[in-house]
Amino acid sequence: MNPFFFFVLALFIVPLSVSAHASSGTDGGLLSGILHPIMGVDHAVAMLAVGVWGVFLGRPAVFLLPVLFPLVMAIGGAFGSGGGAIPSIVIEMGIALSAIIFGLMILLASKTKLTTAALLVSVFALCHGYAHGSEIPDAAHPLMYAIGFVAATGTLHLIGIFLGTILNWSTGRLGLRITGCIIMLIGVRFLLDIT
Amino acid sequence: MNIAGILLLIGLSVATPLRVFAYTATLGVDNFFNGFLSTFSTPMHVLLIGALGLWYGHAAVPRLSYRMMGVFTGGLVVGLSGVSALAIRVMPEYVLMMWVCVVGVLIAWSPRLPVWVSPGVLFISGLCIGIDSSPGYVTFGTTVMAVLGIIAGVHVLLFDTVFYSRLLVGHRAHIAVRIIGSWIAAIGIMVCAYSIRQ
Repeated sequence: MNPFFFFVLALFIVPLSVSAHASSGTDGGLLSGILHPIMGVDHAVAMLAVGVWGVFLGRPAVFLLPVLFPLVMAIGGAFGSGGGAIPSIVIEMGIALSAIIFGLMILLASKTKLTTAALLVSVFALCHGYAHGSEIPDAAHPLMYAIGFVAATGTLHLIGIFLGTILNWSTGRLGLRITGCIIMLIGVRFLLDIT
Repeated sequence: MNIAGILLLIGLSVATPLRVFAYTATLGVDNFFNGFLSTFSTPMHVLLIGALGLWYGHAAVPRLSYRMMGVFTGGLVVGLSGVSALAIRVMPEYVLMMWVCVVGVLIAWSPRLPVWVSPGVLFISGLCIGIDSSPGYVTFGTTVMAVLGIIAGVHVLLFDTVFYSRLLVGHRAHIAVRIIGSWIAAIGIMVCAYSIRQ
């Protein structure tokens, strides 16, 4: 039997009640930080889309965007955690729009200029960061929260880049464009929920 | 050393009874271990030293220079001396994290720096860690042992990081290091903001 099967099976039998003992402090901070970007579908799809779009744009965008996003997102997070005055609905709309725009770019296989792509990613990264920053749980260990949060965000980008490598397959381009369409529709759904 | 050897070493370390230190002939030697371990048990120091090792090993200078490491050690000693002589007890968290952010940006950006910048970065890093590593003891002997432990711990961590980051060669590795640098900078910005808010 494949050991991987047992590994997956073991994940399912882990009692969730043990999580009750790691809701604060160092462990809780890391866990909260990791889960925060992943559990929010609107955040997760936008970050995946950044990676996939980067593959469409090619070098150096494929590497530059994942470098730029966490940096700008952290600046947004700094504003958010400092109790910024931007209404939450504006931020939520920005997050939904990020999924729509990035999804659209993938759907159209858009090859915009690097500066335009960087500008778009920066604006939306500010929105994502602001939302995350304003929601840092007070009980969390700030450093471990930030480590988990940034690592999870970066990992989502890398997964997006990995997904984007199917571009080299014969039907990969079509598959990615469909993925872009799905991401865009998810964004539209969130935008409709907000408005 | 293979994995089994490392595991055996860790197992023996864990199994070592702490009471044996009571029989050592050198007064305050247990404080050496306190100082040594304090570096590893302070996440902010680990982050800064890790970032510094990554930058130094990968981007800063073409080869390992003992003079440059001496500059770092000098900064560390000055910082620790400042703690003892000037009674500077604690460095604000946000100052340390701002510096972490600067080092992270240096890794992510990978600019061509003037010659004097690299020793400056090493000195300030050592200074930050030194000031923030307040031993918290009053007697001379115990403080010296703790300070020696801190210096040893910091250097072990830094040398390890420099060693491993020098193994990262090639275009993809260079990009991976730059991405990690952006993560480090982002962590620095977030924690800095959070500390100022509090």
